Parts: sequence; C-alpha cells; structure tokens
Amino acid sequence: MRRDILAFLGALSLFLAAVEYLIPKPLPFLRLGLANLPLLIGLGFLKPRDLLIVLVLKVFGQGLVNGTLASYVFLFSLAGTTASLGTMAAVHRLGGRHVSLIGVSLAGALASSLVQTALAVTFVFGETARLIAPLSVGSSVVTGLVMGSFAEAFRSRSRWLAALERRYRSAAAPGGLS
Amino acid sequence: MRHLRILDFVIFALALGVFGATVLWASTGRGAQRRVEIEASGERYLLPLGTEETLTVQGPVGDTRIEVSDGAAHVAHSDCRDKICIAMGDISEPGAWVACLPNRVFVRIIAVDDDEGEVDAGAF
Repeated sequence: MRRDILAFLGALSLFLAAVEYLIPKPLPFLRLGLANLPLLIGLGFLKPRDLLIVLVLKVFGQGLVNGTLASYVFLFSLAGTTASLGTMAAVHRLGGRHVSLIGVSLAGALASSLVQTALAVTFVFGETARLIAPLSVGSSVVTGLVMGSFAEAFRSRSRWLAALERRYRSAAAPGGLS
Repeated sequence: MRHLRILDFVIFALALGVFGATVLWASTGRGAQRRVEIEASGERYLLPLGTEETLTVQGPVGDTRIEVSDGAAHVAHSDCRDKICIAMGDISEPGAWVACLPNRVFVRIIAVDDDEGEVDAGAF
C-alpha cells in the first residue's frame, strides 16, 4: 500500500513534468515547478525516507521527460530539488502551525534557485551567470508563491488527499512496512 | 488569504531581501571585469571600465579626450574634422569600439577572464 502511494506520487511528478514541458519558457531556467507539487503535498504526511524516494522519482522522471537525464542539467536539477526539499522539510517541521505551505514552498523555491545559481556561477558560466541571478531568484519567488498557494488550497479542501493520507498512515502505522 | 500565517510573511520578507541582494550583486559586478583599451600614436593604454577617469591622447591632428564613467567609455572631445568618434557615443560591451580615424585613435572594450558580455544574435 505504501509502495503504491509512493509510486503514484512519483508518477504524478512525471506527469506534471510532462505538462510543464508543454508550457513555453522564455528562458530554460524559468520553470513553474509543477513537478514539485507531489513533494510539497507529501511533506505533510510522508516519512522522511519516503519523501526522499519521491524526490528521486521526481528528479529522474523530470530528467526523462526533459531529455536532460544524461547531461549536467540533471545534476543542477538534483542539487536544486534536494536543497529545496531539505529547506522545505526544515521549515515545515520547525515552523509547525506558524507556517503554511505557501511559506514552505517559497522557502524551497528560494533554496533551489540559490543553489542552482551558485552552481552555475561556480562551474558552468562563470561570473557572467550573476546577471541571471535576479531573474532566477525573482521568478522562483513568484512560482514558489503560486505553487504554495495551490498546494495549501488543495490540501485543505481535497477529500481525495485526505483519503490518501489515511491510507498511507494505516499502511505505515503497524510498524512492519516502514 | 485565510491560510497565511506569521512565518509566511517572514519568509516572504526574507525572499524579497535575497532578491534585492542578487539585484545588487548583479549590478555591482557589472563592468568590473572589463577594460578600456586605447591605442593612439603607437601607445596602448588600459583602464578598468569601473573607474571614473579621463585620458587625453595625442594624434596627428591634435588631442582626443576619452572619458570613462558609469561603466561605459566615450570620446568626449577630438580635434578631428567630422567628430564621428564623439557621435558614436558610449560603449560598454566587450568587443564594442570607437575609432577616430583622422587622429589614429582606437578605443575598444575588452573582456577579462570569461566575461562574455550580453547575449546577442551571435549566440544563436
């Protein structure tokens, strides 16, 4: 059961990455971050280990869809998503009831864009990459807010998600599975 | 938004701060890596593009004054006939140049390290 849910969330990431791929982008790094939604939603109920599994599925799925699996862009994606998930998990846990998914998502988007910009400056484009830093960070603030608002609204309203959480909890609770 | 909590605003303020910092970072770094190269009567001068400086050089028909300010360079005065060099205005991108042919003065921007300048049609 737990495995089904993780596979489903991974597949959802893959699907959302495909949807994202359809949306024209003026610049390659300006993306909405749709594929992060399963992570964002899973943050509320998945165990850390399962979150990592969804992260790996998301990064590989996105690499497959975008055709960047075998290029350095994949490493950017992996680093960005890992930084984002780490930050989101920390903010979610430490913030408790004082923070909504909007703040969590914003913090995650910010971490991701900062890490990717730092990588770009250090390894690939040199100092010229500092010119894209404001663009990258600025767009991540906007998309982080949009994704966070959606995730927050979705989590508070969706009965389907509530059912999914219950199923996950009952599968994970007896102790044997997780 | 009824969902917003106190920390959301804190994080948003932080995000704006980081954004401001990157804007500042991007704008201050600009031009620091570039130099103005001036060639006149066999001499070659190098000035950092980031400084405020005026240089007057001599040529066959008289003086040519080059001013570097605000991350750009231009010819401010020249004793030549047509003043085309003055009309060419500011240059700041690597590879851009201004010349005063009668006075044999050549001014151009050169990039230091891996500064490749702005993306232009040549990138495609």
